[in-house]
Amino acid sequence: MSLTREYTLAASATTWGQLRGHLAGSQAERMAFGYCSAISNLGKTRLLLHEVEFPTDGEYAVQHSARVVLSGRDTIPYLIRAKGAAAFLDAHSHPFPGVPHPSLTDNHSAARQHASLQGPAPGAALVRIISSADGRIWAGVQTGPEDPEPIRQVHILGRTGIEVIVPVNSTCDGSNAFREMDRRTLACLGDGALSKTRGLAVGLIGVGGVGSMVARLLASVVGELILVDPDHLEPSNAPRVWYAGTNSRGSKVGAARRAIRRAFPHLEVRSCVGSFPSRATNNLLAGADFLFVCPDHNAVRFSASRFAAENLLPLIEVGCGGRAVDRELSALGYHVRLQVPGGPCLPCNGLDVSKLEDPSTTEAKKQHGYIEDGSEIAGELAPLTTRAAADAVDVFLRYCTGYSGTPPLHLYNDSLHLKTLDMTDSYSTQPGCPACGATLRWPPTPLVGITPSGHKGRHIPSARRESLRAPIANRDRNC
Amino acid sequence: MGLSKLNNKVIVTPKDQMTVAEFKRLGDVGELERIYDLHTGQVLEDNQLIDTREAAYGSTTDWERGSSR
Repeated sequence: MSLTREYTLAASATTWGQLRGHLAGSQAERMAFGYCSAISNLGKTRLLLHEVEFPTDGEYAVQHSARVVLSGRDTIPYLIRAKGAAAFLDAHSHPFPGVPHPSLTDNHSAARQHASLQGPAPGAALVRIISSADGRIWAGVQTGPEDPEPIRQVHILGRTGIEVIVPVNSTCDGSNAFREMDRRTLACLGDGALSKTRGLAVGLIGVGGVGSMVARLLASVVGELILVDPDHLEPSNAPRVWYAGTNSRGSKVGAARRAIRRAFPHLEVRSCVGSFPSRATNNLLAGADFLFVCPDHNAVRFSASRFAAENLLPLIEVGCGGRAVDRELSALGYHVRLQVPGGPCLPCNGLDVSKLEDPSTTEAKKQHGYIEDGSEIAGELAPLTTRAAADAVDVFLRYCTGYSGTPPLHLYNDSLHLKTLDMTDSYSTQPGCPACGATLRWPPTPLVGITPSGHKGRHIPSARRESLRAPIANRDRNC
Repeated sequence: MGLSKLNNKVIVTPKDQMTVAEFKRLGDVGELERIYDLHTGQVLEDNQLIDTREAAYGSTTDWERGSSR
């Protein structure tokens, strides 16, 4: 049985820009270090680069265009700071053009460095990056004295888009074998953009009216779908949930998975019947590179926002609905929000966090006749949920490929007046927000406490926080 | 007899105190490696006496990178 893991390194555009600028900023070799947490599922590990640090040129014992040495004494502060890290990043530059590749010196020193790392950070991996002057990188993960395993892709997440770097030693060459079904999609997106989205695993929380259509629209352009929903099909789902008929029964995710696999047999689809957040759903979603959340409760939206912020995942959140006064529609529409590094989190982008009770409590209240907002319509029409899903997937494509300009961070559709507004400039990151108000630092600050609007936030379970720091080899969990 | 950790490996020592140089030999650590206190980050010199009862130390050496070989 192969024990090879599939590694992806994710970093914010700010952090990666600092790293790239430092390494490219000298004709002599330079070093850079960084601290990573990690999330893993089913042999896939996503390393999250939190912070980078650079020795000054004056600190090196030796530095010229072909060699750089940091003395043992000067390595200790970096090692001490790596306490609790799942991985320690060691990057250095080859300040000349050409395919970067580790030298014997690099390999011998890295093996000793990995052994040293086990003191302050038992079980931690050494993430190795070599950059050349022409921008190409070699990237590997060292988990012992043996040769490192390649990093498949580096995902650099900015406010307006995702940059995917395929290291020169990656086993994934960045291209896909396209099929006849891709012909018209390729005409719009191009080879590079479709290859980029096909390299992504997308998690989807909620596969009801909106979520099921999001899954359908994503199915032909992504590499993997991960579906999460606790509910079972009911006859009332049939008008909006495309894979459901009036006699359909069973779990929503099970039915969705079967229908999507029928249409796209080559697509990997995994699913979990469960509420988010929970240990099972969180573990399954640890395999995602991008997250959609289409639930019917703001507590789930808030939890997804924090989960995405903590795990450096881009997130698209969708909601739709309407209000009626005296049986006459007074409001009808939907919103699509994009949460990405460098932009506002959902609470800073207009999410109402004033009623973050558990969804089961809300449901129990409804069953006992306690209706908090009598004007809210308990349902939607398929044209509305379908349009909401279409806009959400369009935002995804704009963010991942840039095929038609910069993605909006907040779309609001007023369906009664047939208007869609770009509300991106109406919201901004609030100073001090624990999720988006500060640069990603090491060690990570637990996302608990008070949000900027003064409402109490929900805790990420402490078990979840601890799992971020566990050795990579112990992380796999199945749903 | 002492029981301490070096780079997270348990080292059994014949004495409760010994010099860093002796500890290096027991821990199969190269002479050029630096031993430091894992809690404080303090570098320990070869002739320095250290406590080996349930103490935790780290070792490190020069980090060298080169594109020439």
